Amino acid sequence: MKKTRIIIGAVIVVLLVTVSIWMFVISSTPYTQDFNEAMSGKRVQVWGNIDKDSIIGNNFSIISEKGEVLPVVLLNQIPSNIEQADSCVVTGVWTDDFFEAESILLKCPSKYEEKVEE
Amino acid sequence: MIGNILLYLTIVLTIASIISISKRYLSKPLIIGQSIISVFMMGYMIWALVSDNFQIRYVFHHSEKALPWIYKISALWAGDSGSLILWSAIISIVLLFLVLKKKTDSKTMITVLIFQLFVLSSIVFTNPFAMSSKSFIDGQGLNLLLKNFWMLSHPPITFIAYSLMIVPFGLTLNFALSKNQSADSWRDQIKPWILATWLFLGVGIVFGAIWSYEVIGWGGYWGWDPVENATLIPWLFLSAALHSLPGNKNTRQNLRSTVGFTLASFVSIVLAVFITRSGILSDVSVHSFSGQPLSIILTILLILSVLASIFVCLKLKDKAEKTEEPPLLSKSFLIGAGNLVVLIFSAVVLVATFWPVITKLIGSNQVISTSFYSVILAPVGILLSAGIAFTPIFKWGKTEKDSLPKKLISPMLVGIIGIWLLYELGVFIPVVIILVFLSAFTLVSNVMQMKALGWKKWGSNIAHIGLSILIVGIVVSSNFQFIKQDILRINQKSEVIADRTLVLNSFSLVNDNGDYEASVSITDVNNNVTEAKLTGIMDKTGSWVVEPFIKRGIVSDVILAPGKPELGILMAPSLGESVDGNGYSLFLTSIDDKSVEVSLADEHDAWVLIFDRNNDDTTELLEPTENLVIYLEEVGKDYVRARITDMRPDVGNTVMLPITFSVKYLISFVWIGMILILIGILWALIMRNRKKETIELERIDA
Repeated sequence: MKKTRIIIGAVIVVLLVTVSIWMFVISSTPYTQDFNEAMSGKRVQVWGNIDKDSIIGNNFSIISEKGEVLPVVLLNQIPSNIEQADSCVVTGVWTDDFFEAESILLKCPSKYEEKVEE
Repeated sequence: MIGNILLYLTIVLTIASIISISKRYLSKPLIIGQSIISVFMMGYMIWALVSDNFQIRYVFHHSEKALPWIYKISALWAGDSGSLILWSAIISIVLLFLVLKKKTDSKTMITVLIFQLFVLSSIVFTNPFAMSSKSFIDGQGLNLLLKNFWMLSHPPITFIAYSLMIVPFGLTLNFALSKNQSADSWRDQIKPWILATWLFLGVGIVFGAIWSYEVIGWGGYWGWDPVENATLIPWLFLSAALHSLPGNKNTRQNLRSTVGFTLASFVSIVLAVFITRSGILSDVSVHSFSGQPLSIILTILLILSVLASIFVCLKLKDKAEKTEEPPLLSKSFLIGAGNLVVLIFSAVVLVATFWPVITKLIGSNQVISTSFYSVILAPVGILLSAGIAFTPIFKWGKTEKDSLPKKLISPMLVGIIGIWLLYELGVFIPVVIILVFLSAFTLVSNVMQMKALGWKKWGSNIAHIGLSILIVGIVVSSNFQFIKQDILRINQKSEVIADRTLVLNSFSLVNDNGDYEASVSITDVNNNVTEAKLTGIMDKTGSWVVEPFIKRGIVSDVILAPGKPELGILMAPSLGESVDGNGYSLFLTSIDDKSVEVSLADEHDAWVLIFDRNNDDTTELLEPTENLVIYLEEVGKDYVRARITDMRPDVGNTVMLPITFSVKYLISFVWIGMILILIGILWALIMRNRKKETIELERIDA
């Protein structure tokens, strides 16, 4: 009896841990603020400031700290609060003309951070 | 000034309370005093917010005059330091409850008081009562996204859960230190606290989920954001802790796992606070955090909690009861296996949440995409569903094999009906088939058990039915959905999306700010028409705030989210040529130094327009008839670029409204499941039978 219990436990552990490790390997994506790396053709997650004037439909551009511009096309739903965000993190791949993003993460300024006074 | 006096007075009283408890002198009035002053401190901040005292910086940053009073109060938890004030007041109320209950032991009191001291010192660091030298007429206002019922109630409820959890942690410390407390009495003590924490944390999570679904910004009800994960992990640990409680009672095993999960729940709540406030994961989270000074206090608190937990585990060796292995076909074994799944899942979510930090330490910045979680969820969901499907059938002790076929037959049959239904619908995804089978099975096996039990004991059955419905809802809604973006023009049919077509019926500006109202009709295959009213509001900072239209249904939810509208169309004719578009035709007749002449025509009318170039910019704008504007953006040597904005009722045709249209399936199951889980927990909390549980459980088995 004890053996069966241990086997069942071991199967659960091995199954879940294997799936998890396998998924860690698959879905781990490099995170960068360097647009050259973002344009390398690999799947990356890239941070940039949103150029609010550039938002048309689900096309927009992000700007790096160095001032480089990366045009982005979001394949998914564009969040309604994009205009309230300062910067964002997009995940995707550089195609020849634009960064094709499957997801976006907005960074909203006023949540916990207090704006500069005076 | 007053605020700071109250703050330091609370700190002094808290320290005095700790000392007085250890000296066994005057502790009760001191604790009551600290509770009252701490609540007063919160009252003072609320009063400052409601009375628009913008000299206090916190009020200036988080409120404004025009805000309705309820949102002025909610500004208390809109910011870092304000929410800490709320938290300390809630801890005070918990303290007050403990001190008036009398029976509470001194070590638990000290634990809660020490925790309170950490929260209070965090308030000192964030300095919410700081005054401005300047006086401001109005404040900066509240984030528009927070002006919503769910967001209004989500933070206080979560803070109640965080505060309640300190008590079972204190009780566990006391249990580890005491020489003669029995494990049974400790279990009876922690159970209501664990249940209450579990309930409030659950309600907090559900409200957060509803909020992000309604506001859509986060793309659905759950985004696997670090902040969301941070509250999910303690909730999972609490589930495991609670499930090992009754198992403990009957088989006298698993004491360690109960203690372990209780400690883990507390430590993970401290970790959740650490994640949201320290800024350690701000690069990958929706929230931006300030944090620096707080991260030091929180790190100390986190280390202390971990050390205290290790200490409890070491002390526990002396208390380990004689263990008795549960038989394979028993509730006890299923619960143990289920807790193992929960433990591994929590650990995986934790590692995934901290993946950016871990990989940064190794030297290669990596993040986990959310698809990671949806894959992990499949085996976890199946294992947990299987567990809850069979628990009602098994006994706490050994289950007789002969009794099984009779109990299995109806759940199996209904499960097979579920599979057949899927076959009819054309669904052949293995994970969905397994889950629907298990869910139907769970429903029947639980209903059968509920008939046998008294209604007072229905809590766990209700919660389990809820969980199996929730799992089906999560898997189906994330596997089947249509999302499509399109641009709508007045009276033009859109492309067919998920068997539906959209038409923008009307679009009008409400005021000069550009706020708009639009109406879209959604027609499905059966020609049923749904009218969707959409509004867009331009906020103080010049950003668009739109609320999506959601039509909820049992089978599918239809969601229509408008974007930033484009009011006019651009046309660029060359000299002597015309350009057509959207039913308009623009002809460029002549360009010279003094004027530009164009003619504009639509289906009904035509206008000849002469722009005077000698004067200022405003002459580049002409309004041939009411609500029709033509504006020259650029005048070249032999071409012009003109923007035509036609907002005339019924005939105006230049508006373009980008929309995101989505149809999601079985979202209703997600909400029904969540609500049933919470009802089940509430049921268990209210119907809790304090002393007779052990006997009752044995009676069920008999």
